[in-house]
Amino acid sequence: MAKVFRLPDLGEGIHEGEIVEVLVRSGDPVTEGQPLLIVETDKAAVEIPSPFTGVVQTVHVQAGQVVRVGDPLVTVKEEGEPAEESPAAPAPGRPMEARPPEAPEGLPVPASPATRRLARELGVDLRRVRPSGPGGRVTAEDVRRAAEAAAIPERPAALHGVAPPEAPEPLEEERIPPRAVPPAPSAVSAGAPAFPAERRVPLKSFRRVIARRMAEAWARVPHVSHHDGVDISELERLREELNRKAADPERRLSLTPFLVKAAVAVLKEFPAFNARLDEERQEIVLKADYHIGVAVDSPRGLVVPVLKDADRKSITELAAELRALSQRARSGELSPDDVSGGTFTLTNIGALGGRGFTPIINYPQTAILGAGKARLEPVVTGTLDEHTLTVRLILPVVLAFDHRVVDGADGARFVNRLKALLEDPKVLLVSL
Amino acid sequence: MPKMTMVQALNLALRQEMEKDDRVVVLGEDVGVDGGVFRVTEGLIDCFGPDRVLDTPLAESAIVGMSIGMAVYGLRPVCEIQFSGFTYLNFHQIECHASRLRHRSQGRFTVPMVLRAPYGGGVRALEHHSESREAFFAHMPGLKMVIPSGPRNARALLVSAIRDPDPVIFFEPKAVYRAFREEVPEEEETLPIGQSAVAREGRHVTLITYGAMVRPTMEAAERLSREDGIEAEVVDLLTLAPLDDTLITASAKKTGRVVIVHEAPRSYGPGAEITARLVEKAFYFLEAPVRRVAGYDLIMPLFAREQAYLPNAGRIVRAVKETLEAAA
Amino acid sequence: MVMGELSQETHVAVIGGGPGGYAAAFRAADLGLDVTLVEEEPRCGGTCLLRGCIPSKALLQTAEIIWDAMQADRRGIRFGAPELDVAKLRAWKDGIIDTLASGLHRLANKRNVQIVRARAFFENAHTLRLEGSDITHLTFRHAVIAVGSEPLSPPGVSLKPGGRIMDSTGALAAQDIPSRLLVVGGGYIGLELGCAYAVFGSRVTLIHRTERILGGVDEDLVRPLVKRIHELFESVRLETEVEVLREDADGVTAVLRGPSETREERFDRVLIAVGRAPRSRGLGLEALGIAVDAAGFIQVDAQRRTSVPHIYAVGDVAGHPMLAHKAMREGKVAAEAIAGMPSAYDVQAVPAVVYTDPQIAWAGLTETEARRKNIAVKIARFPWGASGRALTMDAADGLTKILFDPQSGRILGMGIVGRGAETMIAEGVLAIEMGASAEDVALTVHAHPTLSETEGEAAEVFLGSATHLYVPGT
Repeated sequence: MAKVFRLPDLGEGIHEGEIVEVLVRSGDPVTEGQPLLIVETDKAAVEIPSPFTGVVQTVHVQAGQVVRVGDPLVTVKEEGEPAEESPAAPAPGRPMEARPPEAPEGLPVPASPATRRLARELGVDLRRVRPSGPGGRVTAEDVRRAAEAAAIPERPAALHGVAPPEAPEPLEEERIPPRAVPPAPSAVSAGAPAFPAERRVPLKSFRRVIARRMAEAWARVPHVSHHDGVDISELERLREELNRKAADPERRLSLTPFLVKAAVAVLKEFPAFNARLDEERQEIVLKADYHIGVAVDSPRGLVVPVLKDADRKSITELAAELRALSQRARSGELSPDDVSGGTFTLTNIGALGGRGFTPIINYPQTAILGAGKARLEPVVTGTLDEHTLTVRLILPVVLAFDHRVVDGADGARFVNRLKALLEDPKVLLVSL
Repeated sequence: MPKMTMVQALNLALRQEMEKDDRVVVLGEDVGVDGGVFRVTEGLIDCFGPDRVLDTPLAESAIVGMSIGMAVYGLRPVCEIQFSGFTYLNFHQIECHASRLRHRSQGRFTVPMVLRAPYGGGVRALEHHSESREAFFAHMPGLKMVIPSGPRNARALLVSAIRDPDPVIFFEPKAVYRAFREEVPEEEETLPIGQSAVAREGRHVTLITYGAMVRPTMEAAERLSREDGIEAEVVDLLTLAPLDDTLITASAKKTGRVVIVHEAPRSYGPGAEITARLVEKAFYFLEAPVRRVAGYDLIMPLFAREQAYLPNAGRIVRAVKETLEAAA
Repeated sequence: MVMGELSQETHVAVIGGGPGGYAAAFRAADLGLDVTLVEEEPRCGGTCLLRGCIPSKALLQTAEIIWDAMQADRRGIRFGAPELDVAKLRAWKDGIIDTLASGLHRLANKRNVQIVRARAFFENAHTLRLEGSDITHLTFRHAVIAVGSEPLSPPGVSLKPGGRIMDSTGALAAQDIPSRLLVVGGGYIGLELGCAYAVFGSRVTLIHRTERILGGVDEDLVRPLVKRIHELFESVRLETEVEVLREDADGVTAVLRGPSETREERFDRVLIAVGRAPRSRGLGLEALGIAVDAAGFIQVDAQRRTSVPHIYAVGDVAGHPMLAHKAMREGKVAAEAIAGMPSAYDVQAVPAVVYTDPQIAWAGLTETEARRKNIAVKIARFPWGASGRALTMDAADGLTKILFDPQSGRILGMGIVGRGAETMIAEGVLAIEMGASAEDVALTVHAHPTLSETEGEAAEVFLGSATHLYVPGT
């Protein structure tokens, strides 16, 4: 008997994915566990193994297509079965002719021309609309519903995943809503007219998820950003010394694991920042784990792999884990587990520069810590009348937090404590 | 409302005035069977016959002399000179008679005629076919000098010119003849001769121009607004003589800075008179010297180089910026 | 002639006043854009109106009247032999064209669409050079190329205007009814005109290069027509090509090379109907970098944009099928895209009609295509022999067939042969566009007795519920 293999539930919150690659063709023998396709979900690229052993009869999808959980991927004929699937056609009569069931490659979605026009107008991809009509026909109502659903993002099932920490970058081309009425041509406008050369890039996969998450976090969370500068001169001396001693240049320590460790120490003192707001039940859920997400700039966009149990790992361990995660992020090999479960997020864009920025919270977390590029700055200490001028290495930091959960004063205290830890490594050491 | 080119709009004006007033006659070289060198009089001979649409010999002096005679005797002749460069042949008739008859006869006779002629460059024509010599006629007392800039005002002004009791020199910017279409109402529409119009409102500088130069001037104004936030007011003169100095003075007082644009050569050109008028009437309001963007004091080059001669938006923009910097 | 160069600017320049061009121009004007249509002929309408669909239908309709009169004998009516006044027929046909062409100009006027009679060339990406008009240059923000196609001739054959060797244009001018007519090409144009002339009294020889006329059209749909032309034509020769055509004062000598022999024959006229080619050359497209494929078609996207995004192409010059109704839709899509609307050419079925007697019409997937592409289909046929209405029309050899998706019963294609196919195919097109299934069509009540019933019954054949056809169960 031929079995249809559908996109399985890949885990928390994942309900669709883009087919990156189809690894089998019809006629190929497959064994259970053999990879059939690679699907890129909101969170990671996942190899989908075959649950059956047999011969691939039909591949229902192609690379680039977006599939939802439950969509048919591949039909596999199990061993020892007749080659053809018997169609359940009623009373086949003489004037009919049956053809071998090599399924038509991508029949257009059944929908009336008016519905198709509506879909274009509302920017809805018909293939992604759940049809309500008989025979899988998409109705105008289905399209409207899909457009509304796209406008109001659904609540994610869990707290983790992709969340680029800074404000969303402008897309390659901004979608300009279609004008209903074209501009009246001006007869008097002389000379060569200006022609906008526009190019449309579909919002796909990661970019779409980033867009949705950002909009959701920004819309739901009243953000407050608290900025400060941290004197990391001493920490920097310590780091340089450690790195000089490290034999393997691969094992050099960056600032990030120190920031993670310091953040964890402060979070322990201020548990409301390691929390989420349960809006339905009107409760603040304080987390017992310290899973710190770290934003990584990958070729496909920003991803946030999570350093699990950061409180129980040493700075060197965290550094090694971060290196491994970043590598996987850049090669697109992060597993859904790598990006799930974060309770607080760190975003360090110092490598790229920046004096200050306002990160967007990785919703539904409560806070995100951002760091810019450390610079040598003149620092004046003392009183108005008696003062000294020194040059110190100052790291711009910003804490963005959910004002529903904590107040501005809490944020200031959090950052003050963080400063104290980072400015004197001895204090950091005793807090670990 | 139908959209028309300037050629079609002028044709509409002639047709409607001829329908309305039997005294209106059209004469000139090839205006009848051929419909005119630029097709402005196309089809008129079919409607009104050869008695009212006269194909004349190739003799400009005769065309104008005949028109003057017709006008004095009660007709309303509209003569066409194929190019303004050919009006020198009828100069004597215009200067010595058309402009003077009212004065000479102490008001007993007037000369209600219109001399239509295409003027200006930009269409890659030959020698004598591209000049802008409107100053000759604007300089002559007793004449009115009208230059429209678009289909709609061309039609309205031509109707007014035909109905005017005195001789009107009506120069048509041939670069605009078919350059764009504009809505022109079927119903009668006139514009008073002697009144200029604000084509674009602004507050930083006034650009005064007319005819074919309105388009590059408007383009320059849009560019200044878009790129530099400079809001230029554009005045379209429409009539050169008599000059609407009320309007240009008011605009100059408002902005304090003036740039004049014309394709006629600079020296003794219309810009010189306009500048003088502003100095007389708005001197204490001016914050910078008045500038002129004009044709050069050269024989108009042949078509390969005519674009280098004609003012364009770039030259106008530069002049405006210099004017704004001058006294800043 | 005007002295100097007068240029004009417009928002949308449409090149070509055929169905694609005028549909684009009118739609753009209705959307508020300033539109100039450049047409080199004195009248708009293009090939379709001036020398294609409309004049050929005028002749074919006339032929049908004669044919019916000749067949009326079996019903007990006898007419005398028809007398054909060719001059009057021509005048009547030209009158129809005049009515429609002047109607187009009135519609253009009302919409403020300016029509400029000139030949247009692209001087650069925003300027057209116009030849033959008072306006020498037209600058535009958007352009729509709708220059259509032209008849092809076999190598070595040259056509003189008014000569005895004609293309479809010459044949539609209907100078006279030649006593012997050679038709070169068994495509729809050759068949339509060949049939008309045969009924008008010409002895017609049809030659066709391959072994099947109307190649690409399903064989069961072509069969009744093949039968008819064997009755109607003096000779039908397949796998035959023209070797030489020599025109002289009173005829044409043709050397025809067939599969077994090469013959020399005399004809009064020769109609060349071997296909049409897009007119993409000589417009200056190369300099703009507008991509054209090997066959000369301008390549376009779903909005009918060329590789230069503010220039669009529609109709025959933008690809197959070369049909007026496809061009009109494309023209509207292009105009809407220019106006900033989210329009797209997402048509799923373009109906095609061969106006012979019997007519052949099809839409969507054909059986031939399904076989070639290995697409699984179920095919239900309803032969017209089972239709009462068809019998009253002497059309028992007709056939209606529908192609279904075997799983869902969705209608993928339809083919019809028989009188009235041109109108009936509309139901199939609508069904395909709506994503309708066999049940949708079967449960729609069709008037009885009509030929359209055969469509409902074909759907019922698929479902096993046909009334007028007994399909044994399994």
